[in-house]
Amino acid sequence: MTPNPSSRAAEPNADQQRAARREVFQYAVRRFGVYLFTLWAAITVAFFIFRLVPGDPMNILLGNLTRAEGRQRDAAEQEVIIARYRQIFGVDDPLPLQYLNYLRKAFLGGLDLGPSFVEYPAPTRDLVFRRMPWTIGIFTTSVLLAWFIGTGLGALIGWLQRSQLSKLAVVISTLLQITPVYLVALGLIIYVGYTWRILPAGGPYARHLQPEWTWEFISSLLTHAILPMLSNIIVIGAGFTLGMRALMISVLGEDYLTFARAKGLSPFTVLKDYAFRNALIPQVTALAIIVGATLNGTFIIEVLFQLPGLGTLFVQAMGLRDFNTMQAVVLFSIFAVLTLTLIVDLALPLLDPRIRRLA
Amino acid sequence: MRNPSIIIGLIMLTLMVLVALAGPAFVSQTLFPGERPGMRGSYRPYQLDSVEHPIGTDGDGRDGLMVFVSSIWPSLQIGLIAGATSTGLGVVIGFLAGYARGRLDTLARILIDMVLVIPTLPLLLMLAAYIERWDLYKLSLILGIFGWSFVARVIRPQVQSLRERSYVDLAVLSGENPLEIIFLELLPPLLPYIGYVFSLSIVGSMLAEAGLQIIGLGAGGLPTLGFMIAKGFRESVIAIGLLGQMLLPAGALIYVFLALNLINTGLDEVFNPRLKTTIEGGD
Amino acid sequence: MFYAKRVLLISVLALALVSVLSLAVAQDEELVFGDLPRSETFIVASQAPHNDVWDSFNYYQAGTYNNATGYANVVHEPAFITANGFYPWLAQSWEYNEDGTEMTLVITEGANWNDGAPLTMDDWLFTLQYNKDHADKGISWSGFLANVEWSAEGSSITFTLPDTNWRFHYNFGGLGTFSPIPKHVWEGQDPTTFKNPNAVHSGPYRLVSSNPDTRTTIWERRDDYWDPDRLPAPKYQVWLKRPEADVAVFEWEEGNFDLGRMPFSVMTRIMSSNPHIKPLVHQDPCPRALIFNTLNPPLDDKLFRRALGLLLNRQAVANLANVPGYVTPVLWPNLGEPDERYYDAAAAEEFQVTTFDPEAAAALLDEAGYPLVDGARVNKDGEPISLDALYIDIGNPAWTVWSWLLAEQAELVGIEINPRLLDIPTFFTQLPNGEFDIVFRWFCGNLPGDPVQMFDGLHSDNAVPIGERAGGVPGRYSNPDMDALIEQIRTADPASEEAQSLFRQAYRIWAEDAPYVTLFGENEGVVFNSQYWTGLAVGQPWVHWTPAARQIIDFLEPAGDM
Repeated sequence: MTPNPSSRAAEPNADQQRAARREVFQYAVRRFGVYLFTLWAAITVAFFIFRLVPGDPMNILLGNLTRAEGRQRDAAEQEVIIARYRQIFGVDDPLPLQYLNYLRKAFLGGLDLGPSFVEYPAPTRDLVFRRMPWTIGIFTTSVLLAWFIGTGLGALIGWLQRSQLSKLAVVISTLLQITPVYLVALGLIIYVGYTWRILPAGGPYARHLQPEWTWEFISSLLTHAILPMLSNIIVIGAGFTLGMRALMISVLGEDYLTFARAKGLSPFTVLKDYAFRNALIPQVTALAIIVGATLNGTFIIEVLFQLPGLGTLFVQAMGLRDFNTMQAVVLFSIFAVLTLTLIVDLALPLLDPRIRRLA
Repeated sequence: MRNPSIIIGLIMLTLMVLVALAGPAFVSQTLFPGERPGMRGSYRPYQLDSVEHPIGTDGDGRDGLMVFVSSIWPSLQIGLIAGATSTGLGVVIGFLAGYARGRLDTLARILIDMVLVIPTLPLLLMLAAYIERWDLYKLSLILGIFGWSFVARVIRPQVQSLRERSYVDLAVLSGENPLEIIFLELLPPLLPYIGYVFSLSIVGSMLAEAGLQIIGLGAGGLPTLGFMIAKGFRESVIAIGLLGQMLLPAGALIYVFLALNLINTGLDEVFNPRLKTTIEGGD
Repeated sequence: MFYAKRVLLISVLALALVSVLSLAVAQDEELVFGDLPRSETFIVASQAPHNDVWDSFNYYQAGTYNNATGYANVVHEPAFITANGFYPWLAQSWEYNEDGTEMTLVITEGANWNDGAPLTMDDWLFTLQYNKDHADKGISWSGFLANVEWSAEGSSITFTLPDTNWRFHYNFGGLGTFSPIPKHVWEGQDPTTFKNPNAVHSGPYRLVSSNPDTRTTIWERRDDYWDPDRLPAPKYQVWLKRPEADVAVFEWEEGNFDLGRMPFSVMTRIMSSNPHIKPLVHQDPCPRALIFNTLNPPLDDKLFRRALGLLLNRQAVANLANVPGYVTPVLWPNLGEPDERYYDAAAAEEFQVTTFDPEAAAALLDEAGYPLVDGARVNKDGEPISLDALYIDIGNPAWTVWSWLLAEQAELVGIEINPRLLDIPTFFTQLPNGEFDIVFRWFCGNLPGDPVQMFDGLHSDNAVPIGERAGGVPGRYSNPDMDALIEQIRTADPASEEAQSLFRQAYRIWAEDAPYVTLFGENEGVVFNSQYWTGLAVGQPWVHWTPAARQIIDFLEPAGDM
């Protein structure tokens, strides 16, 4: 009756097992349906929002052309240009038709996300695919590292709440979490990059190299990645540490831990099997969210370290109201966040047997 | 109740509020009698630190210190309103989604996920077309309204997990109604985490507000800490050598966060006495 | 034998010494970007705008147009270089017939492309036809060819113009102008999608590599340039995207860049830590101005507009400008000292074109029928006047603070002005659509070249309803007298006394009507590192943006004493 983890010891019979498996299967199917619906809804909402944002890309494009040519064009010339680009970008159709065309091309046309304004005539898809390796390689990886470090550290600090060292650790991570990431990154650039000259402080790799499988290129790539990753790990890791600590403290106050202690389990077993496991659930959820957020949320680090990531692309696209590119970047981040939360939701029952009863 | 963390935290906050309220008048009367240190164009811009201008002048030709002290109060207000709104909304929706089952839960989850994944910047730009005049309260409410989804997303699974516990079953059996269950059984164990999220939201909104001002959605030239940081970044004040104009506002944000966290930790210790025994057992 | 041993020992020692020395000498030569000798490399830290495209060298594309890769400066050459006059480059001269309906252009013979192919009349004719054929694609430098016929003979092309036009030659020598493209590269290509991947044009450099990840383009000087006398000094040029100013200061302090823009506010610091760094201040060709929306009352009243002009403390704004101390007053819709031939000093005096005088403003408002009621000026319907002043923030205080200073002064005379910050794309949409009361804008009255642009944007063709896109000056200004003058100016020979009189009359109307008021001419701060290269100085005619800037690389000389 009590959904205590120890009740797993009871041997269920075959029927129960089969029923349970069916329940889990139904839960998974239902969850997947919700996932598909949310994905569609988010993409749809994003599509319309981007096209309703004030600011007309055609005007901005004309502004660029005018600057290029150094003279004002007359109205007739402007109309010709605008008519052409409106046709290329398919914005003459009514919005619902544009929307259907977009979905058709994106999902049936081999992920054709339309042309981009940012680098016309480059297709939006190419732009996103060219930037994505940097975002994933540097930012997503550093979030994962930050998560592991932060979760471990947070659990430890929460567990040893009363020790002086842990209080100091809390203060330090509080400082780091709220320090604008810009200051952390700039600090690393100034000291590690220029004053002490330990590591290169800008660019994805040395400027004269081209991507190829040589040791020179790979080592350049790796050394250039350290500082941006470190800035990310420091700030995000501090956040995860504090979050985990707060969660641990919540969990530590619960009765069953007292029971577990009373049962004579070793402190480490209590930490590992009871407290940690329970505190982990929201922490995993937070990871999914933040991993997704890095897909378009690390603009400042990208700018300071001159990395060609998706954050910069999104900001550039916003600046030109290039809705195709904005939409493409957001599409990937929507996809990433929702897929990760799906995985988390499906995996949570494994972590927390109590949620399994929901299914 | 004599918890040192709470006392230190409260003293820190009180000091901050004092500086925020009395600072502008004090600075302008003692350092700049007869001048207008907070007006744009009063001085030559980007002057380095000096006796007259302890942290220099900013790019708009104002005294940096004056800008800093005038920024604190609006920032605190924004932080409090926006933080409370987003945490409040997030907790309510998170609890609803976590406690309810079936359709309501599914609906809430879809809503949370969607708000989470759609970037707020274009949404805000869209909204800006409909709001004629921005003021501090509108700005804070907007920030709060867009900030709840993260809170809701992390609260929901915890509520789900808690509501499956035996003592909740017991409460249901003993005839408590859902509200009683939520407030008496589910909320208390989550308070430390909610407190942490709340302090994070407060300071987070103070920072996020800068983003709005930069794209033109701000409260019409209102000085704030977040804006000071964003402006400093844009105008490279660190490269110029005006460190104070970057470190003071950043320091003030850290200070507020630290104070709030101290209070939060102290409250945990007071209201969660079971904590003590477990932890001492764990040592 | 003993002796032989000693000889051997000595020679071995000598050899070792020589090799150590030569190694030392070799190490002395600093290498950058892999294996480029620093003393032979010119490094430009350029500032790419929103669209930084690094793999396309197509000057027709709006998106590709940028100064980032250096293509426009080191490879793409113009017909004439324009800098206080026209200098022959890919073309030699032009000549009109008696009534200005024909123009003959003489092209430069013996030029070649940087892939070695000769640049011939074929390429010119191909380009003319190519531009004309693709005019519907909205490419640059095609509109001026509509209804124009041409024929070639020897090295001259004769253009037959539809109407009298004494200004046709400006199409070959403005800031960005018509320039021939290599037929063998472009034939059959679409001007809006072709990337010209090898960056073929007639300049003295050829492309080594260009990388969109690192945002770096490397150019190497070619030996077969068609004009050996004008071969630039640097063997290599590297154009890269400048890091954020916070980071870039260190690069400058270490002398890693040779030329580039930096915010003026950080220049003092750079110059004090690296004595080789020199500021090169150059004037932006577009003066700053405030444009009034003449459809929104009371801004439809020229007296009211002039009153606002009197409320502008231009000196206070100028003190906040990008490069303080390098700000010039702007007395006419153009930069610099007014040219007496085109300018009416009496009108400037009469209408107080750049005067700051709040009392006169108040008097003017009283006179124009905007009385002060309970501390607020009311419009003709008796309602208090409230106007929005729109600005964008690009990190240059003068661009934002004017609105606050104006609002402050306006409040003193009883007018409410609300400064409103807009994000940049919204601003650039609202501006041509006329959705504003007062905006700050740079005003390119007269780029080096065609003076007709001084007033052309004020033609009432641009006075379309609010919500529709307007060309020219977006203030919806219309005045039949001005229209008549503009139409006459368009066909007149700018050098003639008749045309100059028209300009003076237009100036008088402009000063009286104040469709926009000028603020100041602003300078740009550019940093130059004289450690490896010298020859660039303040006051040289150069602009960072276009092929006209081809010239700057001709001034460069190696700094011998390094």
